[in-house]
Formats: sequence, C-alpha cells, structure tokens
Amino acid sequence: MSANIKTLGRGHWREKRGTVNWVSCGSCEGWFHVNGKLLDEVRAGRSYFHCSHCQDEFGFETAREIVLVPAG
Amino acid sequence: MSVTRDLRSFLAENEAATWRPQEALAVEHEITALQHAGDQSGSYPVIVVDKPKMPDGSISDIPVICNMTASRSLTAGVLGLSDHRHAASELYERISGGIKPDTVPSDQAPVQEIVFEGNECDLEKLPALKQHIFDPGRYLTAAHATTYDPETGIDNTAIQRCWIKGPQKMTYYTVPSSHNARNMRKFWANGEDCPIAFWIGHHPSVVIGSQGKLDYPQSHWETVGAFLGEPLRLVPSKTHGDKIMVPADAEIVVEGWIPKDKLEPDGPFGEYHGYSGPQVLAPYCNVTAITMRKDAIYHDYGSGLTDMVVPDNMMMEGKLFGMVRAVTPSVTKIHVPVSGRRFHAYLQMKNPMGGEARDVLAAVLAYRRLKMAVVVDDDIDIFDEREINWALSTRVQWERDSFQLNGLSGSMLDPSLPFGSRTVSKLGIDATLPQSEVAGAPKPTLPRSVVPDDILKQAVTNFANADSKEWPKE
Repeated sequence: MSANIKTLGRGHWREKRGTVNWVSCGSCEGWFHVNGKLLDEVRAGRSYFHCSHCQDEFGFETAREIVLVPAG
Repeated sequence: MSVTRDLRSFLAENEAATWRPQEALAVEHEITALQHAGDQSGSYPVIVVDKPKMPDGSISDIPVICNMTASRSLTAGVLGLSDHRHAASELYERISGGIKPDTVPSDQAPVQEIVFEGNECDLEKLPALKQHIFDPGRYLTAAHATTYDPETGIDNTAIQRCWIKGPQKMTYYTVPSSHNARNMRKFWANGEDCPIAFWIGHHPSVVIGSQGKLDYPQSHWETVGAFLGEPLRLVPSKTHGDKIMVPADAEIVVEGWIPKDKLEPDGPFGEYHGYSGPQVLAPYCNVTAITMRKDAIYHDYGSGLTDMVVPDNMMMEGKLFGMVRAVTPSVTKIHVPVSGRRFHAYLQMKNPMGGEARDVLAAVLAYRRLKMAVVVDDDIDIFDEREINWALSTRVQWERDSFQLNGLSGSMLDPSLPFGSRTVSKLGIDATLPQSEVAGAPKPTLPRSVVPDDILKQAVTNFANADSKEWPKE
C-alpha cells in the first residue's frame, strides 16, 4: 500500500494556511497530527508512526492518507 | 384585557430580580455606589430606592429605579429574545421592522396626570442623582430627548444628559454628530429656538427600542413598537402639541426650548468609557412644563456603568449585524463587550471563505464607534473573554492577521485621542483558523485538548454539587 499524500499550497503570505501535518492510520483510519521532524524520520525509514487511536505502528508508505503543510 | 407595558409592568414581572434597599440613600453618590458595587461583584439586580435622600436631607416621594438594564440576560428576556447571545441577529430584525404608534388624548395619558407649567416647574424636586465625584451637580441621565427635523417634521429620540442648574433650567449635552444636534442646528439656522421634550421612565422595550441606530431623519416610534410588540401610545406634549409627541405611559416628561446659539459650561461628567469627561460648552433648556404620573418613578442610568453600557452595546450588535449582512452571511454572532465600552467588537463566523474574515472586519470598522474588531471561528464563545484571549494568543500572527486603518471617523470622547484629533486609528484582527483544504481530513491545525463530552458533562455536575465554599477563588 502506498500512502495518499496531499501537500497543501503555500498561498500568499497574508493568507492563513495550515500549520500542522495530519496522518490517517492505515488500520483504523483515525487521524492524528505529527510534527515535521518525525515526518522526516518516518519518511527516511528511521522511525515510525504510532496511531493514538488503535495503537498500531506503521511507516510512511502504509499510512492511509497524509496531509502535509509546506514549511513557512 | 392586555396590560399596558410600562415601567410598572416590568417591575411587577421582575420582582425576584429586583433589590429594594430599605434604608434611605442619598441621591448624591450613595445610589450610584450600589451600582459600582454590583459591577465589581458581577451581580446585576434591578435596584429600586424607595427613600431617596435629597441634598437638603428630605426624603423624596419619587422612588428611583436604576440598574434596570445591567443584566444582559434579564434585558434579553424582557425584550423577548431567545438568548442574549443572539441579540445581534434578533435585534437586527427588530430594527428592520416597525409598528406604527397610536395617539391617545391627554386624559388617557398617565404621564399627564400631573401638569406643572411655567414657574410651577421645579426640576430640583426630581430625585436626580449626582453620580460621580467630578460631576458638578445632579443630572438627568435617562432623559430621552425628542426633537424634530424642521424640514420634514420627522422626530428623533436619544438619551442625552442634562445638568439641573435651576428650577426651570438645565444643560442639554449632545455630540455634534447626533441626529438631535442636526435638528437643533436647523432650527438655529432659521433663527429659531429649538423645541424639545425629554421623557423619563418606561418599559425597557421602549427605552432600548428608542436607542436603535437609525437613519436620518427617521422616527424611533415605529422601532419602539417593534420592540414592544404593540403600538407605542403617544400623547401630544403640553408645550409643543403634536409636533413633539411623548410616550403616554412614561413616568415623567420635561418640556421646553433650547435657545438659539446659547452655550454654557456643562460637566465634567462620568462618560460611557468609565472616565470623567471634561467640562464642555453645551446648549441649555428653558423648561416650560413638567408632567408626570401621580406616583411617578424616576429612572436613572449609571453613567459608564454596566447599566448604561449593556443596552447600548446590544443595539450596536444589531446595527453591526446589518452591516456585515451586506458583505457575507457567514457571521453568526456579535458581541460588543462591556469591558471594551463601545470600542471593541467580537464577531463569530462559521467556515469563513478565504478573505471573508477581512471583508467583515473592513465592514464593521467603518462604524464610527468601533476601534477594534476581532473575528473568530464558531468554536470560540465570544461571550467569554478568556476564549477571545485564547484565540488571540494562539491563532494570530500579527503581521499576517491584523491590519490598521487610519484617519477614520470615530468617537471624539475616546480618552486616548491626542488633543485636537478629528479622526481615529482602528485595528482589525483575524483570529480564525485556516480552513480545511482536503475533504475528509481535519483542519491543518492543532486540535483542542478535550475530554469526551459525556464525561465532561458528568464532571461539571460533580463540581456543581461539591461543597466549594472554602475553595480558593483566585
């Protein structure tokens, strides 16, 4: 399975945009939020996501969906 | 048979919310001090003083009612609103509606049961209050001044202060932008004195309905009818006949003339902003008649206190709602908080589209009285200033989310204005969250830290039932 990754646009600096990345669990489909450092580590295969709903542990590719905010 | 809605019917229906101190209380400071104490403790009973002690030590046989509109929830209930939090939308509807008034003859007008004319008039017998330390004397603070536009004959009504200077003389202070001031200037430009009548004491629906922010020239009587839910009963004034009508079921009416181009010192006086405003030049009224009920009650507004600020701010909410409706349907609630006097407004929006929050801010900041407006999402309770502060502290980057508008018209009573200023500086703050961009995904922001609703509900019940008397409050 390959994660469905959506990266939000940057928009104009005066427009409010997202500040937090969200991950949907591949097992229970629940959503939880993660910071950029963990995201990078999981993407590089050096760490994993821990679903706060079903406690499943999974990697970047097995997430159901990931919504990424671009760095400011 | 329906009961006429007046001050008496209001008091009869709200006995439980009314405090009647048994002791005599001086009209100088002591009654107003009760209102300060109530504001400080966050308690807002209607206060009726049956034994007002006059400056010469005598007890007036005219009771004083004050704090009538200090409570938002009581005021909303009396107005028939579903909830005080819905004042903006529901008062907007009222302001937009109207019921034509009825005219009754003098013998059916309680307010003309007693008539004093000419030298029989004695303003000094009214239990008017000297509220604050710098006030130079006793003021009528809930006197609704009614004048008319000499070009159209259309009347206007507004609450404006009057300092009692003698038995038949009182100042009449009105800011230059007011509709009554426009009428007065028109009479003066024609070389005439301005006819005027002041009515005091009525049902809160009448008092608040008459404070609607209307166009010029536009009579307030139909709006008052919409607030009352029935035609307002009017009677021709004794001095000016049907050119100036007054509410037949009011408590007291003072009639007279504002002499052309005559100004005298007025004030200092406690203003709505909570400071004592400076002494100014003001017109004055030569009184020609005082009419009243046989058992009249005198109504006083605590100037700068919650009593005065609440009804005016609720009417502002209705006015602002009409202004934002022209821009977007996304505004759900508006709060003009007592803490910000008339200068601040909080607006709640449901799912604002990109740019909509700023559209709303630009629209409301055009309103003369406002200095700052904050827009938040519908998860923020705009009637809880802790929530507003939380949104400001966690959802705003100032460079991105705030903008300043300079050189706009504003309240010249703003104590922060540099001397001689004619315009003000205003601030809009978008404290909303960014909107969702991916269908089905959460907003790309941090979620609130919460516990499950049902567990919280039980915890709230447990807390309410616990013996908390000894618990620290701060």
